[in-house]
Amino acid sequence: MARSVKKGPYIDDNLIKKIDALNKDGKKVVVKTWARRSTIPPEFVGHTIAVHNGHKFIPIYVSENMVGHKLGEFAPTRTFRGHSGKLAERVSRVK
Amino acid sequence: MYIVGKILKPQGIKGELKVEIITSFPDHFTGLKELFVKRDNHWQTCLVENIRIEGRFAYIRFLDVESRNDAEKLRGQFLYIPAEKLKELKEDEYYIHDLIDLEVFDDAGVRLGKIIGVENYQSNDAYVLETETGESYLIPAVKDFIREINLSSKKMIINRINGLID
Repeated sequence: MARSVKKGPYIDDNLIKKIDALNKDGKKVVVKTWARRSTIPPEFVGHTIAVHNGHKFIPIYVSENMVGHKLGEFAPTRTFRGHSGKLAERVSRVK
Repeated sequence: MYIVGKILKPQGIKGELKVEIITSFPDHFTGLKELFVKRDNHWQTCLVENIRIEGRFAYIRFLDVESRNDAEKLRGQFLYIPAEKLKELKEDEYYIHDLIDLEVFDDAGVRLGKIIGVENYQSNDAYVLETETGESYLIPAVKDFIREINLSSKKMIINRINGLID
């Protein structure tokens, strides 16, 4: 069942406080969090949030099209490591 | 030689092979005339007769593979292409094999370690940095962090913002 619209989105209090403080000072810091259930509000855009996946913190750079999703969606807890990364014709893009 | 696919199983009775595509350019597959297979430490050339792509799999027929028994011998093998057949990349794109072992420096020129792997995440890739003490950290592959990648001098310069490496 979907969350009631009346309540608004769930955003982790500690996280939004930290991001608001960074926005106020115009600073960029990697913020660590375990709050995977937190929704991404527009204030997070442009910040890097290290989301815990149960094992380690995955640094997630928040872009505009991630707003409204949960942080946990971007830090998978079960990772398929892929085939022979060192030898495969695979590309990485710097966004 | 670089891997572009893995032969999963024979498909049908006429020697066709089902191949898992392991490349960032699946369309690259359709234009290939020959592929290589490593058998007993020797490179064997396989001339392509026909390739069709369905989703993340390719169905390939080689000229000298005419029966299911011939195809069965290739089960589990990786398919390779030579380095000169690799596609040219756009700006800000890098082959993962080129990134591995790059020396990482910060803005001030301090050596931080080297890249030992690349992890793919939905939002952005992350480069695995291993420091001299053996600890590993993830560096997001975004322009805010990656200042410069110089493949000829095997150097990567990153913006070391607070909390990234500590």
